[in-house]
Amino acid sequence: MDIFDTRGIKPMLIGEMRDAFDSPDYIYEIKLDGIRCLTYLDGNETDIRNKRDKKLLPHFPELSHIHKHAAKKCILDGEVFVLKNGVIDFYETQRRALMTDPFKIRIAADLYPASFVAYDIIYYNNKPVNELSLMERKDLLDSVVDESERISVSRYIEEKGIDLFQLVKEKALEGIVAKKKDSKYWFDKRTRDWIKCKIMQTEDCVVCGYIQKENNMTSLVLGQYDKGVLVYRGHVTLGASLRNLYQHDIKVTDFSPFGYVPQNNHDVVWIEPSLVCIVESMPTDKDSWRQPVLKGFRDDKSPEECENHTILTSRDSIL
Amino acid sequence: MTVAHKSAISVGLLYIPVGLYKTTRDTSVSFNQLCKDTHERVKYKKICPSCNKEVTSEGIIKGYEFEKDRYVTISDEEIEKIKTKKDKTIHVEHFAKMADIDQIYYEKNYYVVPDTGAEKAFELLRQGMLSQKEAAIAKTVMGTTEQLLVLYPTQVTIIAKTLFYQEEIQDMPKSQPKVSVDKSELDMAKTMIATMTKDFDISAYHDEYQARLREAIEAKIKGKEIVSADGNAATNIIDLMDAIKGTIDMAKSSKAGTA
Repeated sequence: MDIFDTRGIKPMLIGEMRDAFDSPDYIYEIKLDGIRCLTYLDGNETDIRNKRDKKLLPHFPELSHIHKHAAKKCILDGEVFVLKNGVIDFYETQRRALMTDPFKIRIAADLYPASFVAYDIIYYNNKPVNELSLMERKDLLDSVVDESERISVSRYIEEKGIDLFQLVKEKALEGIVAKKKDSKYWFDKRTRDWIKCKIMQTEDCVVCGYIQKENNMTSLVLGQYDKGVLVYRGHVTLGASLRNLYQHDIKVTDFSPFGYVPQNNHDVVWIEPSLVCIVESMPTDKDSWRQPVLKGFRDDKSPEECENHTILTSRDSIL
Repeated sequence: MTVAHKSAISVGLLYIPVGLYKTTRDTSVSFNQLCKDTHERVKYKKICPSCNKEVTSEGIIKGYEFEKDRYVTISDEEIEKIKTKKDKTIHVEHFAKMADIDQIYYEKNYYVVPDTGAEKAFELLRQGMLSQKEAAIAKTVMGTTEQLLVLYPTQVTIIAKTLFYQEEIQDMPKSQPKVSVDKSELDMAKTMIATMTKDFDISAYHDEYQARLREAIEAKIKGKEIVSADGNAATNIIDLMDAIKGTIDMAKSSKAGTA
């Protein structure tokens, strides 16, 4: 039994966010706005797992044959995403990951088929390769994958991080990731060997309640965890359809999950904190959001993992 | 799959954090109701026929009709007092032979999945029950209902079955009269059954109406797709990545040339 058989690998995580930069010690890749996945490929079978080790193939059946494009038994790290009208559509990807009806999944897979882009290789030909340097792993990855419509290898460029960031911004993509050339692959670790530079800032929050406004619009009341304690984070507009919230498995409660009622939050319908959503906003130094937009819901992250970002960075700098 | 009931099995000295997951999903096609002219989703409005006004949720209270058109009302506070204390723990009351539980009490099935770290205790309970050929009778609170459960072991996991309470089971509409049958008649019935016996394979059965419905819907979507196909947009991530990489490489080489 090795890591291929036991599954459950926790991927390496991005440890820092900052402005784009140029450096000869890093390579730069496009940050694809999809679902982070580990794919276990061997001669017979494709198995795609999200960060919480949940099987994704039932939601993305069109990816069931990508193992045929891998030369050897391997574990690849990458992103599953959906292209809609030529644009990476995070909402569509997320919608699919939450679908359970096999017929709806089949229709969606026909209309907007998903792809997997691999950016790392962790296991090759019956051996873990996480101790190799990033550049060695990149070469290996290139040699293993035979690209197709459904599986491809992430392109990278050397040194020119700022130029790439500019282009990515023009194409309205999410951002770029800088990776240190000589770095190893650290399982389940947030390291500064990987740095993201994002155009819009996103944060994961726990839905703690909602407010119905007079104009028939609904706002979500959101929280994040700070050292294990759920704290109030702010509001984001859900839109006119409360149905979008109730299609998730939510339970209304009589009391605020924060243990107190935050200011200006009096007519709130409180919800048990179990649903995770993504909020996109303009980058700002302040604690509050600038033009926050609800980007979608996600089930590959637990509520407890939605930590306050400002706290997270300060903790990182202590390490 | 989302967890239907986050809980823990409490049995003797064991405390096993688990999640209950539905074993089934609804695969039948459901339609939305649309306005014939605009194709807009039809909405429900709650109207009071006396005030002839729309009533919002704040304007609605609960009433129990005890005789025609006569109601007693009951407030949310009163309901709250009666509600079961929210004890989501699955308390095992005792163990029993699976055969002792009449199948008529079975309601819904859930997969029981241990939380990380609880696998060992879970496995002990599963193997213990399996070797004794016993199942656990347990109580829990799901939502607001007090639920009776039976936990039974399979080769790979534990299944939780919710049980109907005895008062929910109806009597047979009429009792079967005693009829005597001859041995020859019974032999005939037995022969018929024997000739029609084969291994049960559920995958041989499908809801054919649903299959035809899905086919019809798919055909319609495919028909529409031709009209709204998005012509020349990139359909391939490789092209997109190569285009971006190409632009940078070009910029690099032209800079190198001028330097």
